[in-house]
Amino acid sequence: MSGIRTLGIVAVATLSLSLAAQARAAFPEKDITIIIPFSPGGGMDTTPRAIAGPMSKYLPNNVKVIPKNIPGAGGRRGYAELMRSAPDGYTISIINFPGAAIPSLTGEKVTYDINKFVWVARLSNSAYLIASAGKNDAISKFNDLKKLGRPVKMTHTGYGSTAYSAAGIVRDAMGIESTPLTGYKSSQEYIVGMIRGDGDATIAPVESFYKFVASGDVKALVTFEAKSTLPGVPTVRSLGYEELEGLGVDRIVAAPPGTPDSVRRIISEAIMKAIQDPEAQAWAKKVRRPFDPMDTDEVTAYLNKSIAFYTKYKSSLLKRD
Amino acid sequence: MLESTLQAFELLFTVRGLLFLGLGTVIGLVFGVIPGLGGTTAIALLIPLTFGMQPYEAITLMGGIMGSVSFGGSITAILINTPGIAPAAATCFDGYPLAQQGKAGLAIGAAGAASSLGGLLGVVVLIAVIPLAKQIVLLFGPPEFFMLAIMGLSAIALSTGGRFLRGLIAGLAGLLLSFVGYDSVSGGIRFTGGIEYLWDGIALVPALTGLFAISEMINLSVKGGTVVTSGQANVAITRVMDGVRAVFTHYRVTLRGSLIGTFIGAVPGVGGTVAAFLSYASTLHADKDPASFGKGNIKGVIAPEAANNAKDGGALIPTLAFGIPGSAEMAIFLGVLVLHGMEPGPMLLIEHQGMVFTLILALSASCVLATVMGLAVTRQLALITLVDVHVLVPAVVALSLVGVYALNNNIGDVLIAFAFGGLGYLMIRFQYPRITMVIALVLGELAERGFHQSMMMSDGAISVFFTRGISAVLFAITALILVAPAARLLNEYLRSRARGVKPRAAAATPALQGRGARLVVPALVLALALAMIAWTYGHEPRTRLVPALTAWTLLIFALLDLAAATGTRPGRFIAALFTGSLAGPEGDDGKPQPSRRVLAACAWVTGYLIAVLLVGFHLATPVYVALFVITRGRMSLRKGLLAAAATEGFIAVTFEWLMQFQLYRGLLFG
Repeated sequence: MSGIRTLGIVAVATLSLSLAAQARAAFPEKDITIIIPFSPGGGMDTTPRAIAGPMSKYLPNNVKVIPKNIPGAGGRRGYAELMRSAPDGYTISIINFPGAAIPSLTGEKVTYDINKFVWVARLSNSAYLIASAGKNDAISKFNDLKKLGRPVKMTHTGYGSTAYSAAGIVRDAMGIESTPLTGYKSSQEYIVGMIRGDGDATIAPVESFYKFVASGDVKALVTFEAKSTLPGVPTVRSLGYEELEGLGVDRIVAAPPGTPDSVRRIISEAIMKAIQDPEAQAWAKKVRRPFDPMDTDEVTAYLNKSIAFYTKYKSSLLKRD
Repeated sequence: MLESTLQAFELLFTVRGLLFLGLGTVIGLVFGVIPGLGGTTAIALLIPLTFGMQPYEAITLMGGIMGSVSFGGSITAILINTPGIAPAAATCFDGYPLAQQGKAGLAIGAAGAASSLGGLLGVVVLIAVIPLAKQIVLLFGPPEFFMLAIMGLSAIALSTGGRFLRGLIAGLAGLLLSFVGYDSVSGGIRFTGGIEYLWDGIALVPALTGLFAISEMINLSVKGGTVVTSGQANVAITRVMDGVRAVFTHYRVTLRGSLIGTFIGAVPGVGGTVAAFLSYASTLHADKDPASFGKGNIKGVIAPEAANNAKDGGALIPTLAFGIPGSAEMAIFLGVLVLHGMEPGPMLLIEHQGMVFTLILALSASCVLATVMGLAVTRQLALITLVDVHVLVPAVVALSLVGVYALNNNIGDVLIAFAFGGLGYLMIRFQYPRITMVIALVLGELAERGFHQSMMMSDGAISVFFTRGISAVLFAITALILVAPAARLLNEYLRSRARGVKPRAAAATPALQGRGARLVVPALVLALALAMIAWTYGHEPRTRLVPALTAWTLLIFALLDLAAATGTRPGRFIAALFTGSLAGPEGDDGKPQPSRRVLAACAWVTGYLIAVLLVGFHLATPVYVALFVITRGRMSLRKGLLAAAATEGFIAVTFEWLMQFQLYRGLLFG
């Protein structure tokens, strides 16, 4: 097996004798590890896994991209690992944005600095949606959230998570007072918690809701998408909150601080091509999680803007009871 | 539904379908038998390999693994008193005494039949409730989870036998350990000492592997000899069919175990260890002769085994209803589904009914197939009990640490297994029941989270636990569990007083003589309680509340334990009050263990660990096994090399070659 692989590498090396190709073949010489700071199964795990396979086709020397889950503390363990890794491009990570930015914005001491990460590419963006339980007659449309006569109980994974922070922004920008109900393991779990009646409403990426809307367990109240992918559900823009359009989660690939420009461009290019690969596209279609790619330059500019937005709403992200 | 069932049958009963089923069953059995490896590891390692398979093939393979792994784990539990997987821990209590009496065949036969039957009953219940699965899952919210966890924890009181006090202490310490890490309710990080690895909490599989496997290996290597102590020349694996028949004779035990297993399996985050233990405890208490348990009562094997396999059917209920995994295996299995383009959730059963039934069918077929396969090789496996422990010990230590590493690719897990191995050995020697610590480790987080979430739901009204029907019923059961044995103990004490019989003295601690030495361990526990109390004060109220409460309770019981160990008059009174006549599983033979041998046994494990850290598994393992066999076992060079080659060969072939998994290479070569 390794004999065949060595032969293959030798063959590739012989074929790429041109100077330009030689200069580029310097990276990568070995397999690349992509850290997934979350447990297997969710969107943050499956999205990078879906492109890890095809990426190999588009990387010089056909090296493999190997996903490695380092779950814990809402992603902090994985991010810290990325921060520590050598800036040689052989360790990259998937980043939940704004999840990774929130702790430092709220004054928590963290062992990584998001401003120092090198942004390689964006894989996808999931806009949020606010929903209530299908059987909850008291809350059928967005305005009902204001008519409860008490703060809305929202189910979340926990303080510092993106949904928790979004609820803070929703309160300050849309005037929906809410109290958090935290401690759920995943969006799947807190949506079911809301359906069960633990809380009144919840906020999560649109994709997480499709199956629950289809089964009738959940009513979608408002979507943060530019154009609603669920028929009949109003967008934030149509309700007059255009500033909040696009509020959601970005799945971003980052490299350790100090990763050379040439290296991040090679990886970025491979990711862009892998996303267009039929295998990745077929997967995205099947699970209804479309890619929304940005290359390294686009994502860097985009994140500068996004970080400014969250800095503006810094006080909304704080812990509340 | 009928159509999907037929479709599933058609898919399974093809050459390829049966091939994957058989492969899954064999992998499950092997991973079950070897301590440290388990179903979760097998599925996690196989995920990348399922890329190239058809979805139904991948699902058949996984179903095969899930159905067979628990019987594999029980074989080890019966033969060498070490559960191959944690849920088989309760099987040790009566399975191992049977093996020591030369009745391993009886025990394994009963375990196999109970596993098959339990697994099938679990699936039958699953199929019966599938139409209602959603409603059932929605009945259980945070208050119910809290009460269930408390019920499980209170069952500790049922089965700690003569060491009630130390059972409680081990349980409370287990709770404190379960609180380590990131608390998702309050968003605070606790008791990590700044160690980043601990943010995700103490990983369960490594901790349980340490507590059960590593500790038992240290204990064995101190004792020496072979597992079978009664000096029989050959272990006759006979009476297997008697064991099978016993499962039907005691059909009530089988049925109760299966129902408990299915029910507990359906509760996310509880799992097989608790299910098996609850089944064991309730069987013991329903029995006319509880004192016969822990000494080789066949019912003590049937009860946990039926529950253990039935839990897989139960775990599928929340998995299919909402995509919430009911067990650790299911959590990883969901990842397999996603990779194959099926999204877990309420639509799974509607959109992919054929796949769901393929899984159910594979799971049930594998339960039966595993028993048939397992019983076929039982005779060969039983020879293990005749092997000199000096060959067994290094092989099991190496394999379990390798398995622990393979689960998450993290060397920190190996260190946890090592630390818990030492702790487990101390607990064996000083008679703190390990099972209660395990139950607490598993349930601690569920209890705390359930409590805080209930409080948030009800805006702080404690009545939320009693105004909801199911929660109230669970509370009533819990109260019964706690009051019944306490009343029994008090009654017994009063009666013995009335008869003028002197209260029994506290069990002497065998390893150390003299009053001073006897006080060392209780004093250490007391110090731990004080330290934990102090530590909780660094945190904000919600992060602190439950750990602080636990630590204060531990302090009270640690004081009582210390007093009991003094052997003074009040001490004897406390000891007698907390020493019931209920059966005491997990006994120690009480023979003194010279400290020189203990230190040597620990030094060998430590040496292996250091070698792994430095030069990786592939270099450290053969050297460790060979040296151990030759020097400790005083066996020939040839035998040493043979043992080393066999162990390393298995590791290399299974992990590096078949699973394409790269084991830790060591600091020097990493």
